[in-house]
Amino acid sequence: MSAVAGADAASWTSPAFAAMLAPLLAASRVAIESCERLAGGAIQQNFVLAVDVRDGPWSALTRIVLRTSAPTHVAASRPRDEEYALLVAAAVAGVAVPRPIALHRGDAHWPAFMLMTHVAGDTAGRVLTRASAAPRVRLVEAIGANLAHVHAILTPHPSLAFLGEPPLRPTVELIDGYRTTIEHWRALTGDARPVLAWTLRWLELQLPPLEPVALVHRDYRVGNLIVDVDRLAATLDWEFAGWGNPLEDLGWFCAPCWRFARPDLAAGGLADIDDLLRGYNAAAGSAHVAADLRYWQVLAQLRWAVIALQQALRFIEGGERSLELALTGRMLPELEWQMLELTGDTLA
Amino acid sequence: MPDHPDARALLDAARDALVALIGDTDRRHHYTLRMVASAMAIARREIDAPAHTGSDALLWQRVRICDTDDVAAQKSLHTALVAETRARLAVSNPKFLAGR
Repeated sequence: MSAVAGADAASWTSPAFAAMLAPLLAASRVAIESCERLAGGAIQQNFVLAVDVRDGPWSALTRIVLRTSAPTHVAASRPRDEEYALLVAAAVAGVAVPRPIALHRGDAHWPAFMLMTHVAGDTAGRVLTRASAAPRVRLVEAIGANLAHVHAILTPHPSLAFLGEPPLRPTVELIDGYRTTIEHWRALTGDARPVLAWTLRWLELQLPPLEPVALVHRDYRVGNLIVDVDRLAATLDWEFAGWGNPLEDLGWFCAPCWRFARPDLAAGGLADIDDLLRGYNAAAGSAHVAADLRYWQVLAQLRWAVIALQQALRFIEGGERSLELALTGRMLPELEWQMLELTGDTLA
Repeated sequence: MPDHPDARALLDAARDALVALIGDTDRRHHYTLRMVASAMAIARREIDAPAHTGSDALLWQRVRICDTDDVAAQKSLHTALVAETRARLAVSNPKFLAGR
């Protein structure tokens, strides 16, 4: 049995894979009873394996999650070995994450994948933000405290050397990268996107003078958090993490684009920003207030807009005839509207 | 002079037929079918949208040269950007504008 990158559910239930898995789990034998692909994951694919593990440290497990790359690739996405190292570092720092089990770096037979414990709960943004009419204050406080644990991971870090040297001006670097994509879009399509130009300039005029640097998740939002009833159970998708300004994560979580069914609740559609910061500040020993996040909410909106442009570019010039990619490009006006709301409030 | 039914009518009829089919198809295909219907609706509205006047390029130029210390000019530019975005939303996602 031989599988290659993009292996499907059938590959993961084969006897050959079970035999390969046994030494990874330090087990005498592994049987894989079923495999189900989890929803989502355009860049990575996640499968739940129902397993019978004989002997070894993981023998109590009946379900494990296998995470591997999807056939499509995004340059900013880290490979599985780096994501696994990030997951391990997060677990050690006390962040709520699935327990890392093992890493396979990839070979001629099997693509690279990582294994982690299966965590029960919901991730769907629409479901979570509709689950309660009242703000979910305790949950959001816990989400804030959990993020503070991520930001307690500092450089230098012996197992995260692959992240490279921390940037001296992380936000300047981010904005420069966004500008490059926007200018490429304008040159290719002739579509000027003046709101993006306005937002770039607004961000440049208000650049933070000095920036702390810590590990930032870079996709910390409803949708990448497992919530079990009202308890934060796990933080997923570490593929975009890197060194940066911690406020970037707080702004991303509170950006209008990630509020799903509850645009009125600024902290992820779940509660208010003050609730998030109460949990964050208590765990981090910081004293941020909601107004501190305005800049980072605008930056988050711009980032989403740049991602939407990149998706549309995959359709326009990359030859990927995906309707989903094409329609993502048509989301730009919504994001631009929200940028104008955020920046317009700051005009004296 | 185009033949009739024209492009608008054909798109409307095709989208209506598609939407009518969604309820009878496997749920696994609903997301894709809704995307197709959405793309057709955008294309339909774009046909009826006012012709492109190059206002985005003019606004882009205004952003570049606008005095950042001139609050009145900034507000005027912001108002123009809102109007431009409202026009784009009327094509891409008019539901988003409801209540705004």
